[in-house]
Amino acid sequence: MNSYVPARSAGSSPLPGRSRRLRSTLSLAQGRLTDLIAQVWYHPRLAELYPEFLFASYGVTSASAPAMRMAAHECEKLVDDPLRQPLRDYYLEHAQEEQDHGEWLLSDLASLDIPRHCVFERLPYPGAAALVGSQYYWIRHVHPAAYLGYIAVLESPTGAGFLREVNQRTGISLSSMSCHLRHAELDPGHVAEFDAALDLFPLTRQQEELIAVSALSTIAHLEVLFTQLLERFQRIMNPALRGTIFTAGVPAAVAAVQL
Amino acid sequence: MNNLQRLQAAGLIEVQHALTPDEVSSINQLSSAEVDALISVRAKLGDDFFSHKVPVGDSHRMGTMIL
Repeated sequence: MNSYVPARSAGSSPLPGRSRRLRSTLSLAQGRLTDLIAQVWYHPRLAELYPEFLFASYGVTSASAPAMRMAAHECEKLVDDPLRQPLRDYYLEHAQEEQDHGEWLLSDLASLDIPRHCVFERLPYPGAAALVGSQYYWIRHVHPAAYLGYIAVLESPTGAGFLREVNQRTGISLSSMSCHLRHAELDPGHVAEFDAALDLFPLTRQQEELIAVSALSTIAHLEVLFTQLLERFQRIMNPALRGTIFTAGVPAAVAAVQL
Repeated sequence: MNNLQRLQAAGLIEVQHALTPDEVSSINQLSSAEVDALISVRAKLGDDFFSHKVPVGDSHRMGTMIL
């Protein structure tokens, strides 16, 4: 995410406290999610299970651009709402930016010997469907500004330095983390830019609340998704329960440590 | 009943938990809808409200998921 910042509309004023207030609210609720994400990144068998993490991510990431376009379409239906044009433009621009991220994940999976047809043959995680699907409800039946709450939570890419540490610790190649890396390196100012846009949109108090509630709902759904992912990680211990979990060959050095 | 009392009554914050001034400020700024959403999120998962097992630095570096 980068360039688009909504212009100030007549009668509205930027509220620099708005994004700060949202971040503050989210910080109250993100502890559990952060713990779950750490359990994934620090899982002792992450090298082997990283393709499964990418697969879970694909279910979410590949849905971002279509959801943004749908949100833009819903903006066009707004009547006498100053958000109509700026929010529509914002979503369309960012849908374009997110367009290829699903392909990047497929490439990363392919680099781990998981061809795209195998990805398409599997059903996405139910948690991914609930996470994205709930946004369709908020957007279509309440207001398309709700998707800003979703972006506020998800537009938080993994840091490039952290990914390099993961590479050192696990042996997962950087080329297999290219989606994470590109996301981190191409867009270093993403969070600040989103917050600046949020401060400029002519939102009503009710729309601000909607964004906060949508964001809190997003956190809850992400917790479910990461819990489902970790549950599948656990199944790797039992060959009878492994099912269709995607795994990668473990680098020799990492395998030696695991033994 | 104020926001803090509501969250305490919902079992999200233990009464004896020492809150920082920032936390109190954040809680006091919440709307009723946001308090309701917080209660729904946490009650559903039964987690400690202020669970921070992960160092703050790491929480920012790990990100969430790719948008």
